[in-house]
Amino acid sequence: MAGEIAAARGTWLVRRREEWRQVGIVAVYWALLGAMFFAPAARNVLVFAAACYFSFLNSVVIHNHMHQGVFNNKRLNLMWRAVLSFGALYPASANIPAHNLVHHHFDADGDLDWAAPDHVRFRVNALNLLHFPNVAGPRTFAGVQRWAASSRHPTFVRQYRLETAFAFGLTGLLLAVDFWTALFFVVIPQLYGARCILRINLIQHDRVDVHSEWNHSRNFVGRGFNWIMCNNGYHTIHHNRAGMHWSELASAHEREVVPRMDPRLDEPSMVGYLLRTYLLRLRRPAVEPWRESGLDETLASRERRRAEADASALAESTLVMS
Amino acid sequence: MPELSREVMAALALAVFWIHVLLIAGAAWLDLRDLIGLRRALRPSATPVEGALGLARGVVRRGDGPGQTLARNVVEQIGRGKGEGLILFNDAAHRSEVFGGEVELDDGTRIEIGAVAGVVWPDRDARDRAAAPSSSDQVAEVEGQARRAKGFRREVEVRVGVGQRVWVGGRFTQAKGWRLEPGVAGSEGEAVLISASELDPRQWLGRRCWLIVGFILADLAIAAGCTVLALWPPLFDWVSMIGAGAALGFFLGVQPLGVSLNEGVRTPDRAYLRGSWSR
Repeated sequence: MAGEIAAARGTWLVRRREEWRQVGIVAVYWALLGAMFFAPAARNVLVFAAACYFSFLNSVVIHNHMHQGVFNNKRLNLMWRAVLSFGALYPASANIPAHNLVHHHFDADGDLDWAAPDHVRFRVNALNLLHFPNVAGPRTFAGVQRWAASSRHPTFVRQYRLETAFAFGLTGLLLAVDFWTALFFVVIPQLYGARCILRINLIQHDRVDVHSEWNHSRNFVGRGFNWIMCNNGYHTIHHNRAGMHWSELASAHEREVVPRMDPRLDEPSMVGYLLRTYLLRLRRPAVEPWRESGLDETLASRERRRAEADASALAESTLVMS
Repeated sequence: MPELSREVMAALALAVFWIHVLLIAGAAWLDLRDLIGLRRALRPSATPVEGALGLARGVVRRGDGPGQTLARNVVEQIGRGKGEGLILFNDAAHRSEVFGGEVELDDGTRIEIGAVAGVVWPDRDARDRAAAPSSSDQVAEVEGQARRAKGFRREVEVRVGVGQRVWVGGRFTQAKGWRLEPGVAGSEGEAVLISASELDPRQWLGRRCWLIVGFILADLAIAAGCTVLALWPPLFDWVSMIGAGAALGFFLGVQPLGVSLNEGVRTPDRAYLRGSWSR
């Protein structure tokens, strides 16, 4: 992990030049929220919809940042977590246990992943998509609390509280200044993004085989989609190689995943998939037998990968190690 | 481009709020439906009736498992700690196993139970006793394992054996003698129910059903109350603002409550144990 980061082509500020895309996404998001809060003329459908979408992208940046910090400076990375936390109205560091350690291995110590698709079971599939954040969110935060109580990460709780205080403090301040404007044009986009990133778990993993090493995820491979989503459509390779930088996922997907996965798990369009799965059909699809072609001897066991992710998160969070 | 008015945004926010209030109520309804179905299958049956589903009380007379065990419930746990004298446990799996044996019902009928799929409801006190450390020395002994990434793995086992009073549920059949066959809903298809708890399973299920009904009614009532306040004239004034704030708070708060309810109504065979050990 450390080697991968060290080998990256960066600048004095960011670890890789591609990170400017993520910084830009967050800057655009804050600009949209700021415009709507301060300028009544900006409170229109277009800006509001863009703010909701960029809120979702802000959560994508949280995801990427919690795997590999954007900046060279660790203190700056910790501050950036607080900035991102405001955008999603939840502490970004929650991703360490919830995503990096539990979801990546589909396993909370043998129990269901906190964001496992099995937590929803409406017969009408669109209801599952709508309801999923209502169950995955609370399970995640309860799980994070339990994990934190026995975690060996010495600064996790302090950082988590700092991010929570910043996110809720700034949001509370905006509500105090102008309640209705903040509620409609800041809080709603914040919640939209945070809830959509939870829904992605359902979209990417429902009705796939989480026990397989190559058919555990659905990939969305549109080029434009992956540009703005910072390659988060390439999900199989991201699960298997969590330490790989997001900018390298597209080529790694072609090289490692495509020859081994069931080709039906490559979806050209997420919009098309959503329409087909949640709007144009009423019932949840059946579990299909997915075909796997070949193994990869170089892929470490999930237990090993989890230990690596834990060590990496610890290194990213601990200032004294820098 | 026209400005999004407060009225339009309020309508949008209330629509989203109500969709999720109803979804949370709907998810609770799914749990209620399952428990009602299980309760219906466990009709009181002091004397077994051929081919009928039912629930009866008796005493275990023979157990075919290790140590004359009729059945057992196991919770696999992983304990983790920082080495500061506290170990916190997570449940990794809940298992029920029926080894087979014979139960004498209170009316004297002897029922044969095979090694079939089963759900085993442990006595809660017995499970708590099985989960507790034998001494503070035991906590100290396993702390090293609990600090490692793999954690301290253990099984909390509660056995149902000879001489114990039990509730048995399933389909009663008669050939050479009475038998109990799977017929009530288990985690993987039909199963027999064996409960070592003093509490009548129907009573347990009834209480949980009422808890869910109460939750659904409270969910809808509080959401309605928030809506009334939010729409209190003049719109967007103080009372309206309090209503909107309450609706936001309720929206955020009812989600963990819904999950807690879902976990709280899990049947005793797969109820979360979790817990902790401390020196």
